Amino acid sequence: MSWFSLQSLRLKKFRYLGIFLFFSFLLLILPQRGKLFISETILQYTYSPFFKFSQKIKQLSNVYEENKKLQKENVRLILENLRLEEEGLENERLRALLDFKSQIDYNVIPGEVVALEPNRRSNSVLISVGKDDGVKKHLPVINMHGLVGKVVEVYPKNSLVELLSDPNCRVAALIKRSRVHGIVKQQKGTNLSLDNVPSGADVRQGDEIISSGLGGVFPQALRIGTVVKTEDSKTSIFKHIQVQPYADFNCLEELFVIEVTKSELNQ
Amino acid sequence: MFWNNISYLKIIRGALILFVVVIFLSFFSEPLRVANVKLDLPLFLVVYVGLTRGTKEGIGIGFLIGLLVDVLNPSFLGLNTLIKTILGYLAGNFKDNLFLEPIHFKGLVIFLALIFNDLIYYLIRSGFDLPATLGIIFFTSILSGIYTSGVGMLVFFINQRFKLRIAFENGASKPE
Repeated sequence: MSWFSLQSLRLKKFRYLGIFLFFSFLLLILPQRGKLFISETILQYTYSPFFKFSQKIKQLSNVYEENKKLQKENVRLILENLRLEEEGLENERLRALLDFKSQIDYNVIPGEVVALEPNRRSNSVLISVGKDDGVKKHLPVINMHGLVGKVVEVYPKNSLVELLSDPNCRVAALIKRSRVHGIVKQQKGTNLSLDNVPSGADVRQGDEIISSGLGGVFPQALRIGTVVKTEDSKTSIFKHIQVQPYADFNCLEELFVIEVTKSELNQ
Repeated sequence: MFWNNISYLKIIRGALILFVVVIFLSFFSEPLRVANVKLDLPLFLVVYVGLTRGTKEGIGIGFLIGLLVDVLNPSFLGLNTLIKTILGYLAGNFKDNLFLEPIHFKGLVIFLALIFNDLIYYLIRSGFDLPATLGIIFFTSILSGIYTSGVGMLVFFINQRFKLRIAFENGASKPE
């Protein structure tokens, strides 16, 4: 390459450099407004779409994190709601019990069922009150619906209650309306029967059965159940009377042990 | 005259490089920092284009990349444009220079380019406060230069291997 060509090439390079340096200096000396305008225009057509995309990704990530947090909070609130519902029901029950307690004339020791059928051979429940609370053997036990059973074992902090649905449990009872006496005992499962009622006795469906006070265990006038079916037997001199107990032996929670004295039983 | 000399391929190549700079500055600038040491990919690209394509393309790409970096800090619009234009020209002068055949010399050029860039940039930004500028150079620019030149050497190495492979596939004989 000749010297002139080389010089010409160098001049071309310097011309290129000069033009771009000139524009660079122009940008440098522009006033602030002009710089901002050019920057904003270039940003709008270059970085802006990517910044928006990046912001969307960040938003999605935030949404994901918030979603996880809200799901956790949701589970916590559901559990709390269930707990509050349960407490609300318990509150209603306890109010009713308080009402019920004020209506009965006997001294009662309130307790809760803590275990069901600890001994599989009998229908019984374990309650949360015992000797330390004043519970004694053979005391009757009721709930707000009616008679439930009697105390058969007493421990310091707990007591075993034999339910009316236990085959061994007997209650001297009478029909409230006609004053016909009989014995309430377990029939089948949790059903009860009123036995020893003569065939001609005045018994009707719907009659209320209460304790008669005879027998020396249960005081009189404790609600037991209602007559659901009555029929005369062809082979026996007694009626077959089926009794629906007021207390639901499958849903026992709060129970009351009645502190009955001998004199109260003899009344 | 000026526009007639620019081929479409150069425009596409230039646009691709600018696109890479925009993507890098939008998404990868922060994640690719190592212990607060940044990777100066825009500067590396200016030096790369200058070394491989010559002064004209080096100047042009230096101007444009400098402008893209400047718009993110409008107060000093034109400063990076100026510095990178000069760097593009200087790097372009070393194109086909046998002295720069080894990759580590290319790495050295990238390192020196970064030091030069940061020196001029921070000197002007700080109002010619030399001690403050030198502090920045010693504590950040040197590490950034090492990082950027390391990445740069890797790119040159891959580029060299790729070109050799294409040459052999096209019938060139392997060096003995």
